Amino acid sequence: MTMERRNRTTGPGWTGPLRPDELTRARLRRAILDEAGPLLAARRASWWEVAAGWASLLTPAAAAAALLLFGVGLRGTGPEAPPRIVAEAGDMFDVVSWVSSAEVPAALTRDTLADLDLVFAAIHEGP
Amino acid sequence: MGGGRGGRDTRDEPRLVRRVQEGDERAFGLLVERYMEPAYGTALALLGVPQDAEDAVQNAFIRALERIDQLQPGSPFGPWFYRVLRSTALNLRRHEKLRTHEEIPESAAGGLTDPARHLERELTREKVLAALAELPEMQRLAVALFDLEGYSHGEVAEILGIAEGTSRAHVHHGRRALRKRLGEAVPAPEEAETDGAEA
Repeated sequence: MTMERRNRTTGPGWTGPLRPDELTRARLRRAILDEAGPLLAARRASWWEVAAGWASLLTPAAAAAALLLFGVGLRGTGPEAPPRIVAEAGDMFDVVSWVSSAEVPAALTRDTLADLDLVFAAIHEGP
Repeated sequence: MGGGRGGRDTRDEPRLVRRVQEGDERAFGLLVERYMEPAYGTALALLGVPQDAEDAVQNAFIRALERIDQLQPGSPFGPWFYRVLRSTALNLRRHEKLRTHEEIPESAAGGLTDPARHLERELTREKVLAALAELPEMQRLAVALFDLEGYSHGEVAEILGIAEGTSRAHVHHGRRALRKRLGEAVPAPEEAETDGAEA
């Protein structure tokens, strides 16, 4: 379907007398808009009702969703498991160095230190 | 359908229609402004009496507003509105006692314009309406939509629910008959053979 348009505002000469004069246009326009006013107002009101209806439907759902998200958020940021104490070999040597050589069992030499528990046990058993 | 109907840009119409569905008075006012004048001419061509044409146009806009939710989203307003107008005008003619020329004092506009010019205009209008009254209804509508509103044959066919070729035939025969009565003011029927023919 072609979209090339003829000029509607002028049109062929014979159509001129069919167009409304200024006063008819004004009267017709006012009559239409006056009658349409209440219908349009009703449409606006019904749109508000629809919006309000949706809002009332969505409010409990939104509250539930918010609670759920809050719960999930709490779980995500809750207390973490205590970090595992990991001692490196260097730390162990430091501990050993704090203890006087007299308190260290003969079996625990720098070369044979393998277990941290043994080191702490030796510290506690010392004095 | 996008570019424009009857020489005007109608691309904003789906948006206007959506706003009217929400109750926007300004959007409705724009549609009224856009379609009122050619709708009046079409109704006048169909009914033959100015006051009846006014009633038909007013009723058609109100019916269109009441049913605007039935308009498919994105569809152009014009052809749908003209279908509403046509059925409104035909209902008016069928079910109501329409006025006759004698019953209606001519437009109150007469008092505001130059009386001589007004009289001349009225006489010309009488002549045009008498010539239109001679045409079968579909020819009258097809010629009015094509010449007055500037719709293409495809669009006229869509509005009237007929084939495009039938629209061409109606406009051709309608123009020929009008030309016999009104002379050169009516373009030659052959000029209506193509959609975009400048009338």
